[in-house]
Amino acid sequence: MSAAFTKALTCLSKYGDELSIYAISDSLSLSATNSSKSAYCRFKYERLFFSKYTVNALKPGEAWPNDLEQTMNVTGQLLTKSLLSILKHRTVERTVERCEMSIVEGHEAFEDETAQDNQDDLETRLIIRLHCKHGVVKTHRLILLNPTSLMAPGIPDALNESNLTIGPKALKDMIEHFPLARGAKSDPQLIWSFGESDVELRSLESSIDTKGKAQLATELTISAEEFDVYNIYAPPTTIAFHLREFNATIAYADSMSLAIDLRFTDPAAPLFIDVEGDNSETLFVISTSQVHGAINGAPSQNYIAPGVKKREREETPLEMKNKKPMKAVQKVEQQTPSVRHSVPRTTGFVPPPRHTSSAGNSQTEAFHDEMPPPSFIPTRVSPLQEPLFLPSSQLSEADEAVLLSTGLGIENMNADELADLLEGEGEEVAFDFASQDPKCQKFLERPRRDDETQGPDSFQLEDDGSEIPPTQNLGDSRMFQALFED
Amino acid sequence: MSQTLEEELPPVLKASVHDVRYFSALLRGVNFVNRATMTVTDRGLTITVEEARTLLGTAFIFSDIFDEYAYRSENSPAVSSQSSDDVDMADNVAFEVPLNTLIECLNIFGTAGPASTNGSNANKFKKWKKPGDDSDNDDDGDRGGRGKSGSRAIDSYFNGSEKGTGMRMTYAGAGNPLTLLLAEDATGPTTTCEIATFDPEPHLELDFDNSKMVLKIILKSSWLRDALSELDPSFDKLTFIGNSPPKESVSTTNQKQPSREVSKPMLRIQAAGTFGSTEMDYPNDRDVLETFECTRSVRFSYRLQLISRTLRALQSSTKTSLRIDEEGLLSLQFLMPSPKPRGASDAFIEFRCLALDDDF
Repeated sequence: MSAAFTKALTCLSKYGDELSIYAISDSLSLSATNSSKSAYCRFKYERLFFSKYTVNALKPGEAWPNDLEQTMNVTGQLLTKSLLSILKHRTVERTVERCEMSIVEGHEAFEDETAQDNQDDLETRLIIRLHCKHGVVKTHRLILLNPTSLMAPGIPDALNESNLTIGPKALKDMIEHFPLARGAKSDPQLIWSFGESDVELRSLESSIDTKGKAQLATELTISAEEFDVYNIYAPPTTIAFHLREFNATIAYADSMSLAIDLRFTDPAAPLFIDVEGDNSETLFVISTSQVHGAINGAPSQNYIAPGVKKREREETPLEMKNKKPMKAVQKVEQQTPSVRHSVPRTTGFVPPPRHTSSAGNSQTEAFHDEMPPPSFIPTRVSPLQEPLFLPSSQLSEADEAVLLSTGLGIENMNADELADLLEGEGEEVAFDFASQDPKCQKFLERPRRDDETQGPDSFQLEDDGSEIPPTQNLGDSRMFQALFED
Repeated sequence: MSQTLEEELPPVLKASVHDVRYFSALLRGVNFVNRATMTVTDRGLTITVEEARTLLGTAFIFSDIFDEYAYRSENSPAVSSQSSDDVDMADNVAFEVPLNTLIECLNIFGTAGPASTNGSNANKFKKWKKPGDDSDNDDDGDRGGRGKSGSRAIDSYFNGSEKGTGMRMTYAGAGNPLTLLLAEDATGPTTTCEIATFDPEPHLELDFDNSKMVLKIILKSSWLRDALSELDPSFDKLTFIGNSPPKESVSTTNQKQPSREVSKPMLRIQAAGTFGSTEMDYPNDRDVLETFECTRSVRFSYRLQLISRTLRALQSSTKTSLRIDEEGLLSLQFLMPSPKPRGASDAFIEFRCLALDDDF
């Protein structure tokens, strides 16, 4: 029994780090979901699977609680590997004769044997007691967390469902042809096309992997007779899904010598896999990926980013990245960090009326483009910007530093001259810095009406776009813009 | 001055052995801190390391382990500058050596590690190829020893039909390097290693007073090894709980026993960490605890990280003696089986560890 249970845990650990336990009076469910919630795995054991199975440990003859439905279940969540490392330890197989597991709710220890804990038991714990040879007893207590949410798979639409049954060995032989072991992070997809009489498997990967190497494309066609049950609702059906979790399923079914039932409806709906054993049933749900032009057999790679590890959730931002308009918007927001830093300094000051927004803004951008690390921008820009907002006749220390830093021998300049230099001839100042970068100069010279979202402008700076998160303080930038418009 | 003396007098230490594996295994047992103090006496060598001012590890290597062992007292003040710090030891010479370097030098031919018990182990060491040499050697980095049975430790000494590295070790006295002359056989190459020595720093003094002993257990090392290796690495605290044999329920805590258990567990090893806890109960069974003496119920905690330092020595030992005194000072002695059949006294490695203060 312990071996089967350990195999199940091994499989669960491939699906997700967190193991959810759900115990009701006649069955125990263990489930795991992967981090992108695209694969789900649940093992359900009937009470007969265990030599002894009780929930709440009600003593015989004791009255059952009225609200039976509510009290008679126990849930918990823990790291799969901490449980697995206990049960899979090399000494366990050799010495353990009996394994007891119990869940003790905080502050209500029903069973006598669990009451020997000498700590204040506020946490719900999973207690694994291993009875070894020579009367050695090893007790492991793992703290159970309250499950954040109980994941439940959607129920497949039975009307247009296709189902297949195949032995794990045959499936393994099929999958083996597709090389996987290019590193732990690789997680290729397979496209399965279920035709009338044969099944076509094709590797679906972007043509270039993370290292820029072209990859091997493999295609395999096998007869439908390989399947014990082959029942396709609408024969040419094509689905695609990732292999990592699927392989864990196969490995489990193989180790238990259990047949695999596959159920799916249409390419967009998840794949359901059932593996049934004695007193246990296992459900796996794996999200499928859209395959464009499935019937033609020409997979579109729009949805598959190179080197993608996590699926569905990540796909959305990746998609967005490819769209130029999105990026344009990002660019405008992305400027704001440099501008934003000057905002605290400028609040309270009225900007000089003769200051034109285009000059100031292009100046900022000139700096921005010139200095690659965005974190540098505020410190270097601010001192130069300050005179713009300080209509004072005295040179501040920052101003003097600026003059010194120009290296033009104009240290003796007074405040007005400096102000003139910086403000009145905005383009000239910008030119000094932009001249080092022809690209900047080019768009500095472009006539500009407004500093708001300009298509060409954003396009110019696109290179930076990917480096900076797009969602920075839009509000601040608006505030700043309003200041200019006064 | 010392140069001339050195030429006239025999060296302070001169020891030779035809196979360094046992010697090397003993050194590896305490190789958790690089800087080790080697104390040379008439009866043998001790190698002492300490960590965190809490854990003291000492390997006792008796002179009859070596084929040849000669110690010349250096007790004339003109020669030795450090012979004055031996207070308790009647006559010794102490110096510090980098233990890692010493072990690496011993393994320069790749034949100082434990011999492999299975031929599947790939030859991880580049070693001198000799005619007719087809056996593989395990590397000494295999500290975990997982997946191998407990008999590995002993086998590694006995099935060594292959030729090991022979060693001649000399130490001329204070200020001189520890010189190792290593060879696999007479026809092969020889290596001379000179390892710089340092003046010894005073070590932690952890004296175990047998009259204050409250718990003494002798058990097979495999029991303790399995127990320690099963603990989750995230655990930080290890507690030894001993209950005195008479069933007078004097337990300091509210430990209740499952009624179906016939005897109360004599020894409980308990570890706790952020993610849970583990308890291991050992009954009063001769198969498990060979000797169990407990004057009163005891419960002392130690840092698991420090106790884990003993694992390497534990793995190659056969028997473990665990003693705790009333202050909580833990003494763990591991008997290291000697490969010599002629009844040479077995070396042992002892660890002493202070208890955590925040217990109870």
